[in-house]
Amino acid sequence: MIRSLYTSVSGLITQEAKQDVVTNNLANINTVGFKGDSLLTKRFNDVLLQNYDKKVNGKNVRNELGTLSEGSLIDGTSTDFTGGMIQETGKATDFAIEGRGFFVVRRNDTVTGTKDYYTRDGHFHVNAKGTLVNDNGDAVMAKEVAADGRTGTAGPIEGITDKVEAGSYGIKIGNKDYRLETVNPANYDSLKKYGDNLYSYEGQQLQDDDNVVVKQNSLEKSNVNTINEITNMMTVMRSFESNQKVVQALDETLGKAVNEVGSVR
Amino acid sequence: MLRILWNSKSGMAAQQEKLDSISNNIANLNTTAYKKTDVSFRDMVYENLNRKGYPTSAKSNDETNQANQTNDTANNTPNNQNKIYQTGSGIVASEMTRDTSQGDVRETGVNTDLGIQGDGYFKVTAPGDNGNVYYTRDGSFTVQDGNLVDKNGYKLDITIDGGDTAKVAFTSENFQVDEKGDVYLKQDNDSKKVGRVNLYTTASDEAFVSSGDNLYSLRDGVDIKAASNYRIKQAALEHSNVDMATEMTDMLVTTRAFQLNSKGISTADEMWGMVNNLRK
Repeated sequence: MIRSLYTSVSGLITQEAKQDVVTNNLANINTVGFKGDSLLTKRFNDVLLQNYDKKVNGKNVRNELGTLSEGSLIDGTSTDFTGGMIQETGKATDFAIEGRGFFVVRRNDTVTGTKDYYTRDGHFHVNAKGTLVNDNGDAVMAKEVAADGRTGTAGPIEGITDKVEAGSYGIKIGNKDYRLETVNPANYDSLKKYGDNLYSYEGQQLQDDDNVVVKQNSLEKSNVNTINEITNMMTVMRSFESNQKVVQALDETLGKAVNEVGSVR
Repeated sequence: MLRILWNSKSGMAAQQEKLDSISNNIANLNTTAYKKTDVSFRDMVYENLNRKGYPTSAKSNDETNQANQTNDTANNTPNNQNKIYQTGSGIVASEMTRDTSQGDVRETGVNTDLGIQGDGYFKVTAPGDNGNVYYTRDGSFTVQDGNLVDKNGYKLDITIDGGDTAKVAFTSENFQVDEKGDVYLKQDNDSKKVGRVNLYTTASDEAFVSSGDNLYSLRDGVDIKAASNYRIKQAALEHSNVDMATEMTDMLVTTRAFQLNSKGISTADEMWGMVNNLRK
């Protein structure tokens, strides 16, 4: 009885964690470049049940009853990197990636230092100091393209004094051409969400990949499917309710076992 | 349970801010030279689920590995190495940004109205010795004491050739402004160039802070320079750049997102109620 209480509680906790992820997806239904998450669950490893009810030669020996799983547990969260819909906005500083790939932004943090993060959110603008930044103020990394087609090293675009326009390589500011730095990691499993629409990559420094398709004057919408998430929310809530009912039934059974078994009335 | 509630609450609060921006845009649908505001969202910090109180496969594998260590080291594969256990904390709305795209320039027939097609802002100065300087796209000027002023009485910045400001007196009919901003004075069937309307621009999208009355003040530390990519049309005004269709669509989307998040809150409430009623 006690063991089954813990089994049900593990179900309750897992469903609650699942609901966290679903409501986070719902909250981000309008966020540019957001990729939905889903929580995976799996069963506990089986435990061997045994008692000493078997009699062999007059002695009680171990009697294996079989295996029992002790509930469900959280098997990680996975991010769905399917592309969201691309919407034209008509602003030269809005970018969207079609297919695989990420933009690179550099963040200067007093705690973690200067680090490069990756993002699908292409809603950029020129800040008061003249640097091309994203909504959080992180500098966008790009490479300057010389007249003969050679590209320079990647760095933030600073000291902007002219309007940003669409160019043959991506961005054209005044008479300079720039191409946004884009990366495409082979294994997306190592990308971790960092908040502020950013991803951090645990592993080797990613190299620039020119095959990433960048569209200017557009933004990528969130890839969260409303219908899926609402259905998930209802399913999870009803699973939660079922587990709760099991706990209540166990409570009643325990109550009977404790109070009424063996009572003489 | 709290996180479910907070995620949805943050979603509702953020969508509310966007609704505020949309309703302000719609209210200013007919304001001269109004530039609409945009709100964007970003997700918040992600927390690790692999912590005390949550059953995760990482912990389960550790226990299994420890139990198996003595008898079977070959099958000791920790297959949870690359697994990520994260949950988000909702969203927050970013600062409102101005969309400075061009509005329609429509004819009004009033000679003192000026409309800008392209990139640039008029400069107006408040009266007084150290009057504040503002920038605006609103070209609805009137003539006051021979000067062109806006509806607050702030003087439009015009450079007069020869630097002699006292000599040129504008009336509502006696001057013409051409595409480049050159001002011509009509005298006895003859037009003479007397000056130039100055237009200013900046590369930054964060340069201006709205001061109300269609005026913008320059943020500290931002450089402003003379504009070059523009055409001025006389007897015309720039219309607001708010597109009703876009705003209505955005409003529908935002309202539905708001509604979805409120469903998240009521679900969290129900779930919590179930837990509270586990034992009456």
